[in-house]
Amino acid sequence: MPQLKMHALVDGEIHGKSFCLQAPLSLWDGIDSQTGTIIQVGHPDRGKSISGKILIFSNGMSGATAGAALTETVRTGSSPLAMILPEPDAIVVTASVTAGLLYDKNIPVFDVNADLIKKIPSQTECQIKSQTISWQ
Amino acid sequence: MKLTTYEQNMLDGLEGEDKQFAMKLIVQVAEAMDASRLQEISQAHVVDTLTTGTGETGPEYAYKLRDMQAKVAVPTTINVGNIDLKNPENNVPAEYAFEVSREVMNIYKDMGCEPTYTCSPFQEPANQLSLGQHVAWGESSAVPFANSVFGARTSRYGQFIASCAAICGRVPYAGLHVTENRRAEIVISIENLPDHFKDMGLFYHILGYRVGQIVSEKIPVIIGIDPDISRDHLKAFGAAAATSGGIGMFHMVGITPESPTLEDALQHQAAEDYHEITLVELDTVLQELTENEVGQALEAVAFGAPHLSYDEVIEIFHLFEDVDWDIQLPVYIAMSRRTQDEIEANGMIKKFDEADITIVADRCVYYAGILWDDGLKVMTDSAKWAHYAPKCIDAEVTIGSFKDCVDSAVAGKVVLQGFSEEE
Repeated sequence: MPQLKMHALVDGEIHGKSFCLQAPLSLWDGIDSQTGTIIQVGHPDRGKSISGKILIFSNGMSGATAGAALTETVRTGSSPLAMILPEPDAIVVTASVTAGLLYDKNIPVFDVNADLIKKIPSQTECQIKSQTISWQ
Repeated sequence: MKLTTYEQNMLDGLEGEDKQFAMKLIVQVAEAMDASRLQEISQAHVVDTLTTGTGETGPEYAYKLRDMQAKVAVPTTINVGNIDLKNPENNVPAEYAFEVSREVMNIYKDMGCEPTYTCSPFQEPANQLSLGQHVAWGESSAVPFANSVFGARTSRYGQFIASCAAICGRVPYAGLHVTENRRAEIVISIENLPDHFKDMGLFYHILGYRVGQIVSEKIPVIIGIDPDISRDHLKAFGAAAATSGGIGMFHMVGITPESPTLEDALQHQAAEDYHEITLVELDTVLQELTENEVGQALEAVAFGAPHLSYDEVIEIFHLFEDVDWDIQLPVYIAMSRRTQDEIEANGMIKKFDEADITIVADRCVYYAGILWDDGLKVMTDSAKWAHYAPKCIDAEVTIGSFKDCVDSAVAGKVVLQGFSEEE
C-alpha cells in the first residue's frame, strides 16, 4: 500500500477522498466560505468543492494573506477534512487553530516536501494516521 | 518547546481567560512552526477590524474577545475597518452591516488598542519602532516597512494571530524574528535605470511590484537605490512588493539598517540569484496595471493605498492648486483619521471639500462600498490599489503618478506621462 510520511502542523486522524489542486489557490478570495466551492477566477478547479475533502496543494501555495475564510468554512460546515501543504504555513495553521478555539473543530494540516506531495493521487480514498498518508 | 513560568501560567488560565485563549493560539502555531520558544513583543498592530471576506467568523471572534473582556498586554494600534467610524455620515450602504462593523471596530478600541484605524501604522507617532524591536504586525503592506525601514522584527501576521499576540504579549520565535531568517536571498540591481526615476513616486510602486513578482516571498536586497529615498517611497515599494509577491522584508544597500553593505544583507553568504531590472520589465508591469488606454474616459480617481502620509496629501493639495481645482471627476483620497485631523487643523480640508474631493478615513476605497458601482474606470497612484481593485470591486484601473492622477481628474480621461521626464 503506497504511503507518504508527512509532518503534522495540526495533527489528526482522517479518512476521506483526496482533492489535489491543479494550481495555487487563494484562501482569502478564492473560495466561497459558505459552500466550500472554489470561486477563484481562472483557477483550473473553479466550481469544484473543497468541502469534506483532503485538500492537497500539489502545485504550490498562493500568497494567502488571510485565513479567516478557512475558519468560516468550519463554522458553515463546508471545511476540508484535512489540508496537505508543500511547506509549513502559519496562516493556514492560525485559521485551523482558531476554528478549534471558536467552534471546537479544527482542520488537520500537514506539510510534505514539494516534490513528494505530487505523488499523492487525486480523487482517491486515503487514510491519514500517525502523520502518514496512505492510499490503495 | 519551552515556556517560561509566566507563559505556562497564562496557558493554564491563571492570568485570565483572555490570555489563556490567546496563548492557546500562539502556542499551537509556535509548535506547528517548530519554534523552540516564544518571543516577547513590545508592540502590535491588529487587523481583525476588516471583516470583509470573513463571513460570520470575523465578528464572532471579536465578540468572543469582548465576552472574555480581553485586554491587550502591549501598546497596540488598529488597521482599517469597514466604515468611517469617526464621521458615520460619510458611510454609504456597504456590503457589511454598519452596526456589525461599528461594533467590531469599537471592540478593539475597548480592548485597549489605540483607535488609529490605518493601514499605514508607521505613519503614527505611536509606531516609530526601533532596531531589533520585536512586534506583531498584521497588514501585509506594513510588515515590510516595520522589518526593513525600522529594522524591527515581525513575521507576516494576519487575522486572529496579531490580536492574540497583543493579548498575551508573545509570538512564536520563528520567521522574521530570527536573525538567520532575515538574510537577503536575491540580489536586485537598478543601477542601469535612468537617474530621474529616483524622484518619481510611480517608479517605486512599479519597481516594488516587479520585485515582488521576481522574489515572491523571498527576501530581496536592492542595489542602486537613491540614498535620500523618502519614507513615502519606501512605503510604496514595500506595499507593492507585498502585493505582487508576498515579501515580509527587503534590504536596500546603504539605506536599510541591516544592510550597510551588500555582504551584511546577505549575512556573508552567497546570494541565490541576481537580477538586473530593465526598462522593458518596468514597462511590462505598467501595462499589467493599466486597463484603460490614454485618452479613455474615466469615472473616478482614487489616491492612497496604503493610506497617504501628511506630506503626500500636501503634495497632492499643491498639484490640485496648480490646476485651480478644476476637476471633472469624483476624487477619493484615503488617509488615516490622524492625517485628516491634521489637514482640518491647517485649513486644507476646506479646499478639498469645496472642490468636492472626498476624504476617505478609517477604511479603504476598494472595500467599503465607497465607489458606487462595480466595473468603474478608475485612475490610481498605487500599485496595490491597481492590483486589488479589479478583484474587489471589479474596477478597470490605470496607474499613474500623482500628477497623472490630478491631470486625469481635470481632463475626465486618462492622462499618463508614466516614466517620461517631466517637462
